[in-house]
Amino acid sequence: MKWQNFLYYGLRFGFGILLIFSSWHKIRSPFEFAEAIENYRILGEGLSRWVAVWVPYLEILTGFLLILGIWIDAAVLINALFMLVFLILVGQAYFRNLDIQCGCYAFDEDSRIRLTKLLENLFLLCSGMGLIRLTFHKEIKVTR
Amino acid sequence: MSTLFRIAVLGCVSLIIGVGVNQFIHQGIRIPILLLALPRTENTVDLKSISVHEAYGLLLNNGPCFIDIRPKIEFEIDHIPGALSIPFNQHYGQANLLETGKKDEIVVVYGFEPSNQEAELLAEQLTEQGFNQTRILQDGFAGWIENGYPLETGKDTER
Repeated sequence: MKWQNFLYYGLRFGFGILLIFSSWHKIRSPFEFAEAIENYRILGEGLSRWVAVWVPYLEILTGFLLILGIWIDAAVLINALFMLVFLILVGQAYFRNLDIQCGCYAFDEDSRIRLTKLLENLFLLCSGMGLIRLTFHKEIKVTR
Repeated sequence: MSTLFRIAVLGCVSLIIGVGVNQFIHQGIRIPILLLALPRTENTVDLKSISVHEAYGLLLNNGPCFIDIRPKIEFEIDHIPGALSIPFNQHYGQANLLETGKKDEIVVVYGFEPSNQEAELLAEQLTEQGFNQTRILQDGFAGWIENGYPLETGKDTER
């Protein structure tokens, strides 16, 4: 259907741009990103540094794949996995009352974790799941 | 190609790119710092420490070479007079941390907190590079401030 196509491409490009945009400041300031990860108090200092080196590049790569439509099955799954992990991180920080920066799009005061951030992540996860459904639904139709 | 295989490939490729790019960008997380996360064998270097009072005494008598391992931005706010800025995040793992002329001098390494692990690692590295008089400032920069010893602001001179 036409609206499904519109939604599919909208979500793909939307998530693609979002991932590229959010990875940019992490790539530029890896130590700050490592510190932001450490503040969630799940990973230690050493592992946070590995994640800070790895995640921004996986984000930017996934973002480009979503926009270009290459390896789309893997890209939409990684995208949804990102959204799930972000939701879990933000959720646990919110419920543990950690007054920390989210580190999602920038390292500033405005990015502190509030209920709105939690809802935003929940919305992104739902959209990511929707994109998976639309992608695999499309692939099945094409295969038939 | 299965989806899982593609995910694994993307994961590996992004890790390789990430580690590679970080070796070259300004303020990147270099390999020696990444390796600190891995279990390491006990170091055989026997590190000596020095109290802030002793260090202040030395400062009054022509002074040891103080090394501040905090980020540059913190160093520029305040530091021990005459200290050199060698931020751990940028310099750990580098060859020739200090000019060889200082090999016979007492070198005092400090971070902010007492028993700073990063200060210990940098001091270990300096000792391995032949700076045998390397010491760690026992109470760190925090102890120096607490005791009301003099401070300096601004950038350091070149190493």
